[in-house]
Amino acid sequence: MKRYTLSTIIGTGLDEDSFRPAVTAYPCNWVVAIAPDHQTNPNKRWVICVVAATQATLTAMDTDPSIDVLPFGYDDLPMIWTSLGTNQQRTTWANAIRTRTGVTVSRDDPRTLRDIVQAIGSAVDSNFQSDNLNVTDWAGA
Amino acid sequence: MPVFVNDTFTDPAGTLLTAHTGEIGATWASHPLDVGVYSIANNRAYRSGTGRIIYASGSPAGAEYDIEADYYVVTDVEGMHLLGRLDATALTYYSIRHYLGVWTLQKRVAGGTTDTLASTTQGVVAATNYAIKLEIRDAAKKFSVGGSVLFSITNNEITAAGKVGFREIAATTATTGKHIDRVWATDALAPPPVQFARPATDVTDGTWTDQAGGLSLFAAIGEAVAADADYIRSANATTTADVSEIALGTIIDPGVSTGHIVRYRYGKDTAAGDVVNLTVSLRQGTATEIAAWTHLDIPQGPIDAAQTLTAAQADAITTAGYSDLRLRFSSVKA
Repeated sequence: MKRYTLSTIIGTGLDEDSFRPAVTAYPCNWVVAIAPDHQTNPNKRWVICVVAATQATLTAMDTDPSIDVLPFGYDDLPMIWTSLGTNQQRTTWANAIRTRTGVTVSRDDPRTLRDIVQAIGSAVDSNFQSDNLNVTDWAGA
Repeated sequence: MPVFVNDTFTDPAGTLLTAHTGEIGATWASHPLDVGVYSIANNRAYRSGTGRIIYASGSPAGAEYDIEADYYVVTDVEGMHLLGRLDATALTYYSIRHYLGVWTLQKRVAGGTTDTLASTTQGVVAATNYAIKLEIRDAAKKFSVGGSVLFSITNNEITAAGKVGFREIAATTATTGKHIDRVWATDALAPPPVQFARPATDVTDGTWTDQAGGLSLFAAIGEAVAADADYIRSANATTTADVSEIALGTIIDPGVSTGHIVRYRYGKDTAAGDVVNLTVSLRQGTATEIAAWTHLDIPQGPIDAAQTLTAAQADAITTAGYSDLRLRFSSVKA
């Protein structure tokens, strides 16, 4: 299954230790929108990824302090934010998005998930288009 | 599409790539900042000496193009990079490679650090060719193997057209590593012109009305620039859906699966009152629903909406169907 995740960046930027999202430590396929100035701008050290993995892997990722797994994936973009979870859950997810990316999302935000993902992606990559960040399903190693 | 690089590496074993000339745009030069030494074996290219980068002479017409290769796994060690938008005088490029069971897309700018932008696990088998393709567009960089898209990313930090090249971190031999059996690159087709299918006629009005007093719904919502003085409104919502359907103007089949966007504005006339849901559907002809989506508990408007069709939904529109698209609005009290 696919989920959007917010992730820190790991690595040194060298050939075999490139900068990459922390999700790479888990068995998954992923793509990322990463800010060009992530090394120098402390507000750009969290990135948005599309991750394809098993439910068990996503559950494990969500306990990792360097990763927040959002409760929706690429195929859910047409849905509206308020169709997700409970008020308390949406408050938690909105707080995570604001803390990690600086993008403000409210509990009762009327926007679609596409609009919210677009806002998060645009905060790190001016060329970001939500429809163009996607990865194939996880088939296992 | 015009081909600006094509090389099948047809030359005797041991021929240096810099001494070889391929079919189109394929005389090869080592990069001055990382002087790659490559040779030919079994009509395939591989890194045979020191240095890492080599590039083909062909230049694209613009910065948007496709690079394709038959990526031959001699043995599953190391990982030849295929480079696009390679700056011939700087260490700037996008690169795709297979290494340790994973396809990765990376970027490097002006010899700086490397960012990995995508990663997909896929095992490979020795003595096998893999047809790989990197589509380089400003909006997206899309990678596929054997016709199946593995990922798409949005980074466009490198904008110059550059060259097509190879990069290999470690030297391989004629009998080890991953070699390039053929490489070719083609300029992208110009994108289809933007078309707008605006409301053109009413199919059914239900009890929706033009709030400016007109008799036709389509005329109230067909403007090119949103103007809210004139709009259409359903009856006060009941638990029975109030449905209107409006035919759109004819457009031609764009021949692509992307960029199909339905734009409109919606809302209630008050923040209070009943909970109202609005379902919008795009239809082809009288019987075929292409896509439908629902705004639950719509707030006071107007609110901009832009619904992008998935590729499968766009593909479901037939060539003839582009001349018979309709929008259906269904309002119902929750």
